[in-house]
Formats: sequence, C-alpha cells, structure tokens
Amino acid sequence: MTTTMASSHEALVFSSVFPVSAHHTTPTPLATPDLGFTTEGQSFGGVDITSPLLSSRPVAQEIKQNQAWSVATRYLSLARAPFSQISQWNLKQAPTRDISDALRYLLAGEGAQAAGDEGQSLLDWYVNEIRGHYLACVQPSIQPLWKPGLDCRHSWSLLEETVNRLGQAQALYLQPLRDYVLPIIHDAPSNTSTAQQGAVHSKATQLASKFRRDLDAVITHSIPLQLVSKALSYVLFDAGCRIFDIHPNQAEPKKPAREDVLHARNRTVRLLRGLREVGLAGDQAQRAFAQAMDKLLGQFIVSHHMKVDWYGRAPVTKKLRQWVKEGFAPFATEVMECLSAGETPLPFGPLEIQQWQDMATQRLGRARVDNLFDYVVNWDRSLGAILDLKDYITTPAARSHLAISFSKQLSRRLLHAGATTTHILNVYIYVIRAFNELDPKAVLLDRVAKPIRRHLRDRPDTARIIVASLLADVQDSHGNTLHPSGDISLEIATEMLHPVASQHDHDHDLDWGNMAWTPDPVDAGPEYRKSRSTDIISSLLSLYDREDFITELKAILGAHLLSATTPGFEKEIRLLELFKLRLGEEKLQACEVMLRDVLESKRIDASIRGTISRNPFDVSPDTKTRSTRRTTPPRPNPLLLLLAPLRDDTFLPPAAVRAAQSRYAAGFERVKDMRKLHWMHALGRASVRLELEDRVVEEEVATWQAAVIDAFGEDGEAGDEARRSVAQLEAALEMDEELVRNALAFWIGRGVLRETAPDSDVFEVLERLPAANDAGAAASAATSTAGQAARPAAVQAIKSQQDVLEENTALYRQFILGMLTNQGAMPAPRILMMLKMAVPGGFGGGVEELRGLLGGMAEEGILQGGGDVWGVKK
Amino acid sequence: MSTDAAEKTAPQPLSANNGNVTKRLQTELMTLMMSPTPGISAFPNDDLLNWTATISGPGGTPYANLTFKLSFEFPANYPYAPPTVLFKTPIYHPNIDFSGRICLDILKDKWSAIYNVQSVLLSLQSLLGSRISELNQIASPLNGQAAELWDKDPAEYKRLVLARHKDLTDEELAGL
Repeated sequence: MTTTMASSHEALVFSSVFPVSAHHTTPTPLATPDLGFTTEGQSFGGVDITSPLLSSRPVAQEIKQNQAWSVATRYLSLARAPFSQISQWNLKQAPTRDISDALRYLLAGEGAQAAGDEGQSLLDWYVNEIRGHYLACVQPSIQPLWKPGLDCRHSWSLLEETVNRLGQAQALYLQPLRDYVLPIIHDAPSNTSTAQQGAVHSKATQLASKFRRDLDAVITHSIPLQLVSKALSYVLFDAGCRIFDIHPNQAEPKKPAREDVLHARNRTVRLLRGLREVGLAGDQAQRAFAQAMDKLLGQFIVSHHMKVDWYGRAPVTKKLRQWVKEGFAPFATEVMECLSAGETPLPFGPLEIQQWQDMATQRLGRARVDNLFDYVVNWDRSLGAILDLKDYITTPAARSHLAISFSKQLSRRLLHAGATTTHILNVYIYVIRAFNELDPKAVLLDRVAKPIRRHLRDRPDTARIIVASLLADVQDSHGNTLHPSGDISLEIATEMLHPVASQHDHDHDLDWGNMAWTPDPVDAGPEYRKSRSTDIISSLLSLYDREDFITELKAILGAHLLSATTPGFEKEIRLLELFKLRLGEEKLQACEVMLRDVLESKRIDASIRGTISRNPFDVSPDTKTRSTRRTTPPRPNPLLLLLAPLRDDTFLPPAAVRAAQSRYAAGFERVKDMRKLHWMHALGRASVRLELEDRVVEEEVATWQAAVIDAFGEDGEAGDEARRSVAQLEAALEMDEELVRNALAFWIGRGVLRETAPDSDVFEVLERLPAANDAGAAASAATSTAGQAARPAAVQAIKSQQDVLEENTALYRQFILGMLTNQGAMPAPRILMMLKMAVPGGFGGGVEELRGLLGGMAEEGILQGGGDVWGVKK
Repeated sequence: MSTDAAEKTAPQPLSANNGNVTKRLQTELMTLMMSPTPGISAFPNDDLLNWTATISGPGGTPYANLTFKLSFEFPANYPYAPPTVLFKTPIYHPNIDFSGRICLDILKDKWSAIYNVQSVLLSLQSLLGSRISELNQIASPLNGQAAELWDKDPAEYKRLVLARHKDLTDEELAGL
C-alpha cells in the first residue's frame, strides 16, 4: 500500500512539472501574458503591465477558467489500469488547496457562472471520463462473464461477481464526486439567503441524480441485459425454491434446515440490493422477477406440497391459497422492496393477493385436469383431486377446458380396441361417480360421457356384460367380496347391491320452497334436463334401446335360471322387478313367464317326488358306479321358445336313469294333464360316487360325463376289465364323439380312467392308483389331458359360436355360391364383407373360417380358387 | 342419466320406408338362397338395392348353353314400383335392344307387388325361350331385324345370337 501511495505521489509531482496525460487540457502558461489586441493607431509594443486588461477583461477570466479546468480535470481523471489490479486502484485523496479552489471556481464560483452551465460541463466531462475508463478497464473484466448460452447454475456466482465488480468501480467513480465535488456545490453560496440555499440544495441533488443516471446508463449499455435478466430470473426462482422447499429436479425432497432458508433469503436480499446499487434493478429486473414468480408458482403447483391427498381425500386448494397469502405474497413484497428501494414499493393489497390465489387455483386446476383420467380410474381415493377441480371449474372456459381435455384423454387411453368392455364399463361408472361429485348438475358428465356411451354401444358384448354383471354374485353368503371372471363388471354388480334409487324425483323447478335452487349451468346444452337421476344402473340401461337389452336379458336370464342352484331365485326376481321398473312391464313378459315357469317347475317337481312313493332318483346300477341324478326341473315349452338355441346333444342316459326318467315323466303327465315331458339330457347335473378298489371318488358332473363313466361300470361283468374304446362308447351311448372324448378327458384328469396304450383309443378304469413310480406317468397323463379336461366348461347350455357356424354352413354355402355366380370371382375378404351384409344375422366367423369353408367347396369341385380369389368352377 | 333425447331419436341408418325395402329384399334373397331354382340366380352388390342376376338360356332355344347377366335396380318404394332390369351381357332378341333394355309388360305397367326377383327372372328366362307368340309384344319389337328373322331364318337368327353373345369378364362384373 505504501508503494502505491508513494508511486501515486511521485506521479503527482511529476505531472505537476511535465504534463503527461494528453487528456487533460494544458492551459496557457501563466508566464505568457495576454497582450490583447492593439487599438487602432497604436503600434505593436512591449508588455504593458499597467494595462487593466490583464485583470479585468474576460480574457483574463478565460485564462483563469482554463487554469482551473486544467487543475480540476487533472485531479478528477482516472488512472487506466486493468481490472485485475483493482486493489491498486485507490480513492482520490482529499484535494489540495489549489485543486479545491479550482473546483470551487468551476462549480460554484465565477467560472460556473461564466460558463453559464453551473458546473454542468465539468460533470459532463467527468461522466465522459468515467465512460472511457469503464470501457477501458471495467468492461473487459465483466464482458467475459456474460457469454451467450451461459449455464443457469452459475447464475448466482455470476451475478454476485458482476455486482461486486460494478460496485467497486462505482465506488471509485462516485467517491470524488460525493466527497469533494458535491460539498463544494453545497457549501458555496453560504452568504446567500435560505431560499436560495434551498434552491442550491435541490440543484445539488439534481446534479447528483443526473450523474447517477448517466452512470447507470453507461453500465446498463455495456452489459447484455437479456442474459442478466435471465440469470436473475433463475436466481430468484432458485431462491424461491429454496425458501419454499420446492425441489424441481430432485426426486426425494429433503427437509431443508431453517438456516438454509434464512441463508437463501439473506443472500437474495444482498444480491438484489447490490443490483439496485449498480443500477441493474430497472424494468428488466422487474420483468425477470415476474417471470421467476410465474415459474415459481407453476413449480409449487407440481411440487410435493400440492400432491393429491390420496389418504385424507381432502382438497389442497385451501393450502394453496394459504401459501399464496403467507408465503408467496410476502416473498414478492420483499423482493420488490429490494428492487425498488427509495421509490415507493408497490403495495400488494388484498386484491392482488386474491387475484394471485385465484390464478394459483386455476393453475392447479389445469394441472389436475391433465391427469384427470388417472384420478377417475382411481376413484374414490382420488376424491381430493376431484375436490381441487371443483374449485377450478368456476368459469365456463375452465369447464369447457376440462371437458375437452378429459374427452381427449378418454379417447386416447380408454376408447380403443385394446380395452375390454368390462374395463370400459367400470371406468364409465367411475366417471359417473367422479363427475357427480365434481358437478352435481351433471352437465359436464353429459359431455364427457357421450363418447363413452357411443363407444359402448358399438361394442357387441356390452349388453351381455351389463346384464350378466347385474345378475352376478359378488358377495358370498358371508358378505365377503368375490372376484368374478373377466366378463363381469364388479362395479355394476356392486351397484346392484345398493337399494333402488327413487324413481320419483320431483321437479325442483316447481319447488318454490327449495332454498338450494340454482339456475341451470351456463354451459348446459339445449337438451339439458334438470331432474336427472344420477343412478348408475339407469344410465347403463339407457345405453341401448330397450329391445336390445330385453333380447339379451332373455338369453342370459334363461341361462342363469338353468344353471342357478339357489332355491329361491330371489336375486333373479329382484332383478326382473328392477328391469320392469326401468324398461316397462309389458316388454318383460317373456322373462316373467320364464321365471314363473321355473318356480312352477320346482313346485311340480316337489309334488311328483311326493307322489312317487320311494325316491326314484337314487339308483344303484352296480357296486362300482352309482350315480345319483338330479334332473333339471322339466320345463314346459314356452321357456324353450324364448331361450336362445339350446344345446341339444342327444345321447342315451344309463338305463337306470332312463327308468327313473320315465317314472318321473309319468308322474308329470299325471300332474300336468297329459303334457309330455321332453328331457334335455345334456343340461342336467349328476352327482357321481365311484367306489373303486382303493378309493372313493365323488364328483358333481355334467350328465354326459356321468353317462360315460357309467358305461364303464355297466359291463363290468363281461370280464374285459371295463375297457371301452371310443367307438364302442359312441355306439353304446349314441353320443357324439366330441362329447365322448370330452368326458373321457375329464375322467382321465380325475385319475379314474386311463388309456390302455398311447393312441389306442381304448380306455380302462384305474381301480388302483399307480404306485409312486407310476405316479409321474399318471401326472403327466393328467397334465396332458388337463387342457382337454378344462374343456367341459366350454360346453354350455347356449350354443357357442363354433356351433352356430357349423349349423349355418349350408346357408353360407348357398350365399357364397349365389354371390360368386352373379358377381364373378372375388377375394376372400370381400366375400366375407358381402356375406356379413347379405346373410341375416351376419357371418359367424372371421376370414379364416371363411377360407376353410371356401377350401371345402373347392375340394368338392364347386369353386375354384387362385391365390385368395375364389370363383365358381365353370 | 346422461341419455339424451338426441341419442335415442338419432336417425337410424335406414329410414322406416327404406327399412321396409331392405327387409323385403332380405327376405327375397333368403328365399332365393334357400330354394335355388336351376338356371336362375341373383345376389346383391355392395348395397341391397342393386343386384346382379344370372340366367342361363333355356335348352331347345337359340340361347341354350349361354348365360346372361342382368342388373337389378330397386326403387325406394319397391315392391310398389318395379325394379329397373337391364341385360348386361350383349344379347340378340326381338324384345331387347342393344343397350340391354327389355320390353316386358310385367316390368312396366303390369307390375304388381306380388312379383319378386325370382318371378321376374323366370319370366325373362321364358321370354328367351318363347316363340314370342305374345302378339302385343311383337307389335312393337325393340329389335326389328330379330323379330323378322325369328320366323324367317332361324339358322341366321341363331348365328346372330351367337355372334352377339359375349360373356362378361370378372372386371366387367365388378364394375356393375
């Protein structure tokens, strides 16, 4: 420090003798007198010392002024040194006497008055000097900091560094002005009146602020403001994140220590004050701040603070409003205070805070809408999110945004071929429930449900699933929830357990005493009807025309009644009543008749059993196989007419059963006045008890299965160890091969039968289970047939698609022939399309089935095919 | 609850009237398919109101062993108005002009709703075989030369029939 002091002192001494710097003016030397001009007639002469010109004429004044200017500028000029040596910069020492005289002369004395600018020109010169110095020394050190494409993460240090450097430079520039120049202006007219003094004061402040403005302009023009405001906006955002504990890029938020928050806050305040000091807190900074706050609000909404409350199921909007009021607004106020100190800070009144709160709620709502589908699917744990949305949809724009966005999500995520009908139905129910909570007036529901309903209507299995789900049991006798198969919508079935909603909504519009009345929502469509039942089942049932449902209901109810084991049919009766309520009584007569028939059958059954003295249904044909047969209750014809085509595989039941059947039939004819009883053998169930040598097997099986195993027992005494080939069984039972094999596979799977040798088609009864070493073989046999054994389930009372296809083959062939005869050869897909259009009921298969059919016809020489194009053989 | 009236009353793809036509044509098609008559056949094109039919020439006539394609176009008020029937295969016949238009009373003023595709086709088949004894039709033949030759020069007549006849290709059929 001493060396620098010394060197600067030396420089001063040196420069007093030899003017070194070119940039302060060198005045006319005192030694050279100003001779003025010779007057007319006067000869050019020597120095006339007595001439009054020297002291009084303006020329002398100019000289004095020049001298003062020279001294002052020399004093005020700044040393040009690179910024890296900033520590060597030092503040101006207090001016010596002649310097302060010169300054005083220029600023407040005659010099100022003479120049007529009252110190203006010296300050202008100083500003120029500063500009030159700044550009030469300070800017090169700041410029490299602000390269385009800077990394946001360095914003803090960058800004702080910039502020630091600019602050140092500024201090350097301001110091002589503050310490020496302004006091001179202040003190100068000490002899003037107080009024004038006031004017002088204001002039001094004016000068100072003008100087500040000039200085700020120099700095602002030298710095890439866009980059700075970008960095600033990042810094403010980062500070906000720290203070409010938001972690935009971290998966796991950790609780910040209180010191961290304080530290961040202090650092921000410090930085902002510094920015204001160096004049970077202008409009740009405020804009950056606005951006930061905007981003902060957005970040807060997606932060963990605003997570959906899955457990408490409460809305978070209240928390959000509170945050805006108690966290966000104070932070904004503080920052604004820092940025605009000196001027009046913008007051953030309750109105602004209210607006911010609304804005935040809107934003939260939009964020929630983006995930609405997930919330709906997870109803009702997502109640919190839905309630958040409720605060959002207060404007028509928000409502329409919600509806549009949700419809999009639906079409993208639900209404495609990959979603099962059951799933769509379940989601539809969730949608109904969630939107009822969201918008009790059901206008929004109406809008978003339309595409779902349209889609459901287009699906062929919707009606079937709905009706089947309505009939399904989801709770066992103890009230535990069962998990039914994929074709049953659990939600619909659960909904059935609820009591029937009241069908008699009274008209709220006419209820003058209704204090909860509100006008129709503004976005309600023209078809909006107020008194809508929000009952889920009724909305499902209104999906289709009644006839479609009734047809489906007949088929399913029929199947259900046949397979039902519950004695009272209470559920079915309840369901039928429900349907009657919704679909109209007259349409459901067929179902009614069915139900009554079944009930009557039970009665008749009981009475026949009563009349036949000993129970004829327990028969014991032989020691080995004993089948107890409980026949399905006989049904008079109407039922059969109403039902879908029933499987009528015929076969010969075991003799004992036949005998029992005929006894029963006789009993029936007695009771029912000569009506005939028609047995549907395939539809019965039989409980079979097999007493084998080492074990007893008891099974509840289909009748044809019982018949097959019975056939093994019947001829036991024939000595061939109960062996049967498939062909023998077919002949003995008059049963289709398919059924025989099906039943055989079933019994093999149960470990009762086995094939004597692979591929022999001859089966025998396993009287003893094989020993351990054979167990593996049996197990493998069992597994190999497991696939087949699983098939009995596929043989249902209602005909399968395959059966329908086979049955209609003749018809299809006629159509194909007609088509190809008249329209020439065409490819299989087109044939399929035409068939679907022309054949009543459509074609019961896909293009593969059709190709099989066409191939068959080609083999018979009716058609000829080339590639996939088929034509009539000529 | 969100059923709206629009959904229920949305216009069906076929109006009631059109539905009747479709139903009737469906039934006719089913009958044709289930009880095929040898020598005649018909099948709808892409929609039910346009059919293509095939008749084979009756034995013992100049048209024996030839097959003829026809197009049927059913009006919206079928069966109360006759279908428009045209021969698509070129044919030489007194009552059929070179564009395939047919002069047959039951397709014009004598049409009745009890006629159907099958009966029309049978009539046309018999028209080919008949000696055109029906004087009211010979009175205004569409093909005067054919009408003359029919009686005068059966050999020349048959030659002209065969010369004119040309089976349609699959592409031509597809274009019907």
